[in-house]
Amino acid sequence: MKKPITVSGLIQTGVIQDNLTTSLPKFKGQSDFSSDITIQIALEQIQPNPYQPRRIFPDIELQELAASIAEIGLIQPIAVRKISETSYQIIAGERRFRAFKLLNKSEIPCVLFSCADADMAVMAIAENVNRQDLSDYEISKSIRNVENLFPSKTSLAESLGFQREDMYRYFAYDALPEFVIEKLEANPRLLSRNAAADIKRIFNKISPEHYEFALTAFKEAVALLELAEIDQTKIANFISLKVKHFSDGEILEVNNKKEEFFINNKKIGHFFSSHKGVEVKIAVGVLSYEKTEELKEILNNFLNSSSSQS
Amino acid sequence: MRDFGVKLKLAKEFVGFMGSSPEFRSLFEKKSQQYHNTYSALDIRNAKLKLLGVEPSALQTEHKLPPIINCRMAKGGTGKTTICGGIASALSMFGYRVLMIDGDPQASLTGLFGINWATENITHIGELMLKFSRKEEYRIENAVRPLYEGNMLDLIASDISLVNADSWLMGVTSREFVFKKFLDANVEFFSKYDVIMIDSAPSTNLLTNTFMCACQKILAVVWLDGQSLKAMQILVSNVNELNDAFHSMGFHLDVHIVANGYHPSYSPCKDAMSTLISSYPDKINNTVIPHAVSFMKQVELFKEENSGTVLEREPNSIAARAIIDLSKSLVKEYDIKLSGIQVI
Repeated sequence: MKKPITVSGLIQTGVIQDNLTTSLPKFKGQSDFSSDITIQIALEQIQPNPYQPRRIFPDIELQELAASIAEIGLIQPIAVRKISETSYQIIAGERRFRAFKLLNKSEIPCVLFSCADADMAVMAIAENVNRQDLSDYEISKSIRNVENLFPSKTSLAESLGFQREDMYRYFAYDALPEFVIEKLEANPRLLSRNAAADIKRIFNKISPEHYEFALTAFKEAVALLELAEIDQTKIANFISLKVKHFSDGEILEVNNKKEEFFINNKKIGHFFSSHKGVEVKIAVGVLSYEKTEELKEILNNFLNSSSSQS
Repeated sequence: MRDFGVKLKLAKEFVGFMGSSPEFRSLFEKKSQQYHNTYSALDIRNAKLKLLGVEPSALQTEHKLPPIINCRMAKGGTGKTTICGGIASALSMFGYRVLMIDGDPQASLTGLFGINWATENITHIGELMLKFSRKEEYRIENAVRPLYEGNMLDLIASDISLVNADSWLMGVTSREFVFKKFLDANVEFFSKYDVIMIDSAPSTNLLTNTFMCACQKILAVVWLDGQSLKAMQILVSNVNELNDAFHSMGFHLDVHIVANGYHPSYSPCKDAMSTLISSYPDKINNTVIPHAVSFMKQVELFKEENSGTVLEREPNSIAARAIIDLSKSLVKEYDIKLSGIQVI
């Protein structure tokens, strides 16, 4: 029977060589993944990130995370930087840190980074901004928090990877009245940055004597919003309408039904009034050129006389 | 159930019996004194236990997961399935209880044992893991097909629907360890076996990763050509990546390599072999699997007489010899024990 082929046999007989310089990549041994990058740090030496944009840490989520850590361990160490001989600050991983606290652990695996304040702020925001679970208001606050670390708004936007216009939408929250800010602190999801920017635009437009009325309208809208009876995107419109009606001195009769004009039972046009205005439409060919001019003049006279009365 | 037994000479080797043939025959109560007896895997196991002075019924198995051998390569056609099936049947003939898991949607291992995945009702490993991760009811026993009597060789078969595994694994937390958790949760069932063999798909995906993450050492099957060496590079980066990602959990995956398809008159085989041994001197199994005709004989799928491993079909061939030698060395390499008893 033929002899079985073995590696050692092939080398001994010189059929194959075992000392080539080869190009195949090496398998890394256990010690090649240097464990000195990950270090264990006592929980009491670690402080949360002051630039942390996340303001809410729901208990249920933390408990779920803690349960998964208890079961399979921490897959990714948290990122920290050294701020003094005995204390560290979290760059990323506050949820994991809190979960470790829940588990009554004394130490947590950390990766040490050296980074400046500005970098740290950007890292913390960038880590969280792209996740859906951070609200616009929380992002806006954290941007405000780190704004002065950057020479200009443009460089701030660049560092964060935002469009400049979009970043200004985040700033719109600052122009909102105090009572909304209080509500946002409790429920940051109340208003999106787009809704805030729309509301800010309305408040910039109205004259100072109408401000108080607009504020009342806004409060009314927020109350409705909290009852989910109005969509947040409709609030700006709601305020502007209320203010308009207030300045008109009366509530315009809103007639959503068209009143149609007929000649010989044939529809030739309609009258329509809504909050957008009053519309009179007459079909082509009904009025001659002279009649049209006459109508214009009547309207002009009517409007001039009514404005001089008021 | 397959009816497979080996003749006296091989049976003696599998038991590790040095004495005379009549003495050997006397180990088996029910066998007649005829020369033409065949010995099944269960016979060999019982004979081994008898020689060790252990009563099979008195064996108490610890609830501990057995070693797992996952046949891997990032390329198809390197002999993963042939070697996986071959080792599995050889190990069971050595008296070890073997569970095979077909982890390849192509279901080649299932086909190797003559099971028609197109007509049979198959519960594959993906379905079991899905039910486990969704906390639904499942029974592994119903998914297991006995191949050799006495649960010496069992198979969890596969079919094409196993490809779905990747889509649901995508959404599972710590998906790399779903299979490991599944094994741990059913340790009572899996500890019945002395070794678990997994045949993997040639690709690198979530399913192959979750199998690898349950192992301590994968078995890389390399065909001796340039394309396989290229696939080896992909496998190395895959293994290094997993080790990097889960290093902090104390996870480390090692690799054991089997060279397959050696032919003395093909010089590229020798070049590839030289590259392989120079690159991974301490990871290669000493047994080289030859390019042998016996491996190629399963030409008609699902035909009973065509199915089976090379050991079943041609136990005295050079190919079967290589598989037996390889299996013997893997017992040491993977620390496979006979119901917790170390036998060398």
